[in-house]
Amino acid sequence: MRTFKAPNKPVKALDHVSISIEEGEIFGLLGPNGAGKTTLIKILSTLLLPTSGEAYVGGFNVVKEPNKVRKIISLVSGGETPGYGILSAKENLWFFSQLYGLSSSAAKEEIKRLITDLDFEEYANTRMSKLSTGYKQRLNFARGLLSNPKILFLDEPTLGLDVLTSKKLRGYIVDWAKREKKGTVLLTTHYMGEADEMCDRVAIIDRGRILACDSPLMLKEKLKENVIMRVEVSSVQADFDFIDKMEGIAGYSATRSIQSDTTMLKVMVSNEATFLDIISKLEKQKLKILSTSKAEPTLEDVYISLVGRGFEESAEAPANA
Amino acid sequence: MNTILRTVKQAIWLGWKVETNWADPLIFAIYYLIRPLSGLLIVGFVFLIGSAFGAGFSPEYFAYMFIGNSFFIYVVQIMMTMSMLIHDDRAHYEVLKHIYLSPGSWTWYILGRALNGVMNASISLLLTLGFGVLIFQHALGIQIPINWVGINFPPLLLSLTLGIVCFIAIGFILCGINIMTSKVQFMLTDYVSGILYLFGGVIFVPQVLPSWGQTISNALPITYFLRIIRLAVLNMESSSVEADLFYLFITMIATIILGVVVFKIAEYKARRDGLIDKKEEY
Amino acid sequence: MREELVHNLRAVYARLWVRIKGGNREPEWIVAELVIPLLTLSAYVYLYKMLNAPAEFAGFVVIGGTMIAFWVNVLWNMSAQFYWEKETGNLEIYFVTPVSRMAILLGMALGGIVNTTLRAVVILGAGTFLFQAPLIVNEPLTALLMFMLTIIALYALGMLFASLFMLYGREAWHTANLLQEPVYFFSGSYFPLSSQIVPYAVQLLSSLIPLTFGLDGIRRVIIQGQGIREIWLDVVALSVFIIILLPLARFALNYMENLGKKEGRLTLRWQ
Repeated sequence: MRTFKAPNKPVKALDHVSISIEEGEIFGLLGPNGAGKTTLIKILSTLLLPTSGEAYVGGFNVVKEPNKVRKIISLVSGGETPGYGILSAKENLWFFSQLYGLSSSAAKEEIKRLITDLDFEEYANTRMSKLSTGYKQRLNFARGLLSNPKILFLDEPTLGLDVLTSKKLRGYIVDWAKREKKGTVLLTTHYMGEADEMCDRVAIIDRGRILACDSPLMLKEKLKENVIMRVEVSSVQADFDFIDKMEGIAGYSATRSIQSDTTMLKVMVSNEATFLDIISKLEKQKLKILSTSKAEPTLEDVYISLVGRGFEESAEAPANA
Repeated sequence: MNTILRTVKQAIWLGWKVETNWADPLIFAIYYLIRPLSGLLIVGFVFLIGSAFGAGFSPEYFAYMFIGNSFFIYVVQIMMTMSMLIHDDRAHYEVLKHIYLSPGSWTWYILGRALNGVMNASISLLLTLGFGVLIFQHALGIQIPINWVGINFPPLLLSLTLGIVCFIAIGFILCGINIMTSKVQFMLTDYVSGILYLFGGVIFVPQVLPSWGQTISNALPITYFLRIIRLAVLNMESSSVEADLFYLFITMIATIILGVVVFKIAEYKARRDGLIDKKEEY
Repeated sequence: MREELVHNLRAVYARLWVRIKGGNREPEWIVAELVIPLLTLSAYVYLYKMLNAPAEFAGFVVIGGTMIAFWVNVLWNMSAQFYWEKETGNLEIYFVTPVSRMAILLGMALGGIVNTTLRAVVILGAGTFLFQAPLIVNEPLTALLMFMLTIIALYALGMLFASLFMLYGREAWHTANLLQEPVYFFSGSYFPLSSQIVPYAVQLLSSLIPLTFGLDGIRRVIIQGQGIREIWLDVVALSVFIIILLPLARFALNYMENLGKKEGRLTLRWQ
């Protein structure tokens, strides 16, 4: 459990969270902003103390044996690029290697390998401040892998990156975990596709609570009893609250596009007749139905079925999470 | 006109809020008193001890130093506000591009922030003078030959006005430089105030400087600014007041022209090279 | 045990290397750190000159201005450093690595000492040359001892401040600003504190600052040609500061780290 003090009332960032991750597993923690994903990673990486409860990483207690934990972990956070702008990429990596006690010769070899594997040899001698976001994040990944950690914490590692760079980095991590080093990875993300692609198991977290935990396939299997339909309507301002009040609705999400002035509704219904009801109510609101289709369940649908709303409708994170 | 006035007013309000918003009000109050007062105390004790070992205490020279050091607060505060403004708004708060794109031009915004610097300097000056008199005159028994109720306000206010316009113009030069490069932003205030402090006749008469130093002194607006203020505060007659006002006016015009030119060049370069929202290198 | 020591020494070296490399890569910073102190100390030298004070006062000011460079370095490159590391995202990484925090601070301190000593030598040389300050170097080892003790005490204080400032936001920056001019005053950077003109209360408060004893000792040796027998009080005072400050810094670091982890402020940025 982790509670943050706030001026009005305490904020429960994590509420009775209990998970266990197997060695060699890529474990995903999926949830919207403010769900508690980063708070959990900070506790496990010894940056934050839990308010109550215990956590063990690699068999070591994170509160009582933090130094032993630190010897076997590494943390890579997205949206941040720790390092010194005035030093080159290589120099930064050398510096961080020394914090893990690597000898200079071992560090040199490891740095060369990582720079090649992560494909930024061209920029190895460029000052970090001059690198683009994508290359800074590659550098961040390299830094995280320098010490050959047994357990790698990835906190939204592809945040703000372009599609190609994200794909490359995801592929690299899976390779690293599964084929090369057989390491354990705890990945937090709010990108469904990322969790689906990379993880052996996913825990869905919302408002500090774990709602479900299983492999992506099994989580989606559980939704087969529902029908997932998509409908695109010609307005961003329409009110869809009526859907909540209807029977036979497991959940829905609405993605509004101001650019095209359309909204993509995704609804989980117990049968197709319920869906036809929704269409008729939308038409009564004088909304133009642009398209309808049946969809395969995704992890977001799993989330919607558990919470009743999509990621976009989820509340903002507490300030300290 | 309304847009300009509104921009200036908002900038003054913003400057005031930013200076006090995150810091404890107590720290704000201390910041505008303790630092300048400490500076005054250092110079004051240097003066007292130097006099004791040297030619003996001279109340007139003490007043010279006391007034010069106190009013120098305007230079420090305006330079600091204006030179850090670009860094703060561009790299730290990331609002500079939005200010630039807003209807009120960023020139008026910067002016508003500078006027907030003037406000803060005025508060700081009053506090420093008050505590300075308390410490030197009442606690240490040093006679400061200033008749506070006999100050000649017209030349004082005139000199303050012209001098402040000058310093704001210099501040625009610093803004311009910081727009074009972030490499010197943390040093500019110290450079400018260091040079003005050394050559501007702030704590010692410029005649003590070597001849080349005196030449520099005669070209600086601060020299005339402080000279007129001293005459006004000490309510002394002098035939050179008109000449000093004239030179202050001339140097003010020169700094305004230079400030406008540098700032305009900076604005052009910023648009050409994409510097308005450039991320800084750390 | 040995392995841990070697690991921490590597971290010390790495952080020192970053400080030295980074501190000398930008010529603008080197110029500023040389020119700006010279401007300030020149003003005080000319003030003494105007007052017809003896020539020794020029030396007095030059040494004060030189040692102030170390104090500024302690304030901005030590005390506020963890705050800057937090803002740039590095603090998180430091706290996740299995290395002693003191090793990081020590590396920062040593790097700062190297860089600032280089600057200080230039300022001292330039100041002495420009103002013909009469300096005596009869007892170089004593002068070196005083210098080393002063530096160690100052940087130990810097380590303590770094721990305290770690959790604070802009207050840390304001506090560092606040500790500039008042410390210049209370440490007698530009005037002799032993003068009868200086009130007793000021002298008493001055004795809480390591720089006061350092300046006094170095000036006595280099300007007045005194030896170890005359400056023993300064040596003892600085040694006491070091003995107290170093363990206090370690304690403060652990305490603040735990507090930060409890309150969730260790990695909270832009406060």
